Amino acid sequence: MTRRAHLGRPWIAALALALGLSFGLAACTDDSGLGEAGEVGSELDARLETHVVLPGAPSAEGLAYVRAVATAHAKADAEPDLGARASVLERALEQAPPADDGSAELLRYNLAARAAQTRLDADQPERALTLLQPLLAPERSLPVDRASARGLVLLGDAAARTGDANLAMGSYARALEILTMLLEEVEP
Amino acid sequence: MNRPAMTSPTRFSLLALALALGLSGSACDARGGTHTISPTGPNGVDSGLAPQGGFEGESMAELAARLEKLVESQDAMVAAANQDTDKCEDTCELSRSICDVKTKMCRIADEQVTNDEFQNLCRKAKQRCGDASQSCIRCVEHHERASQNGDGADCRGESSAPESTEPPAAAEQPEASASE
Repeated sequence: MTRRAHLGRPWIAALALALGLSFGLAACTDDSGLGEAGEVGSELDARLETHVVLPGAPSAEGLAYVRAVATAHAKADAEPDLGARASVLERALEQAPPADDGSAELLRYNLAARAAQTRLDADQPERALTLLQPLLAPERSLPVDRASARGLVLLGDAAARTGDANLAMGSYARALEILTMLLEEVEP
Repeated sequence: MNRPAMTSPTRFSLLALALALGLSGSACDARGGTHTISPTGPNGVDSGLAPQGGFEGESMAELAARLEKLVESQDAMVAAANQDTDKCEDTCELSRSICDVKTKMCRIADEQVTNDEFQNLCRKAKQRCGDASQSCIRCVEHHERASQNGDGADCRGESSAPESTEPPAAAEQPEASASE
């Protein structure tokens, strides 16, 4: 009996420890803001690959894209409901810009940023994440421009609001790099 | 024996000092005072200095043409000055955006004090914000000085500018970079 008792106590202590850890982890992963220690949703990834924006030669395709984006912005302006406004912008995002057209590429990033901002304003950070993550993935080369920097800041905001501190920090760090590059361009 | 040996160099020194003072005094007299200095070349020969440009005339038409020319050059100067202002606006806007991002990053880092990677990123962001703010301040100060002096300005930084890592209050406006 005595022996059993001696063997049983550590087992109970181990079980209690395991339960405690489980509860502790559950509390940490509970979506209640970024303040919780150990709260992570992804790995910290601040990789940044960039390219210089080249305007490209004017083309009929490029012009059609500019018109489509301008129409989408105008429609969104006229839409009072935030969700519907975001949907208008997201639909326009489905159209791909012509290849090798830097101006069209920037229009697309601006469009995505506005759509994401609208989702955040509508208190839908998950939708903003879904929209921005593929466009601003660390594996993708981003144009050195305010549009991509703004997109990264919004991605960070959306991640922070969903409790993904690593994604938020990585996105902000990448935005900081692009903004610094832009500042260096302005200041010789 | 020693006394004359000591006195002789002292006398020479006094003499040399007096001569030097006398010479420098006369030199000062030649340059300063109320003398009118005429533009002459070496050995008093006329240097050939003369008013530049042709006679612009005094008739109404000639004066009108002259006025037009001056207005044109003023417009060009104003345009150049405005371009410089735009450069400062760009610099300061980017500086604000950098400091906004810094605020967001350090807020997250403050909430996870044990995360070394976050702490390092926050420190780096603070450094960038400080540098960017200094760029903005230097640009504005340089532009203001140049405006006061009446010449063109650009936003190039100056190494003599005060160094500080603390951004100015104006650079700390949250949400500016992410606003629509």
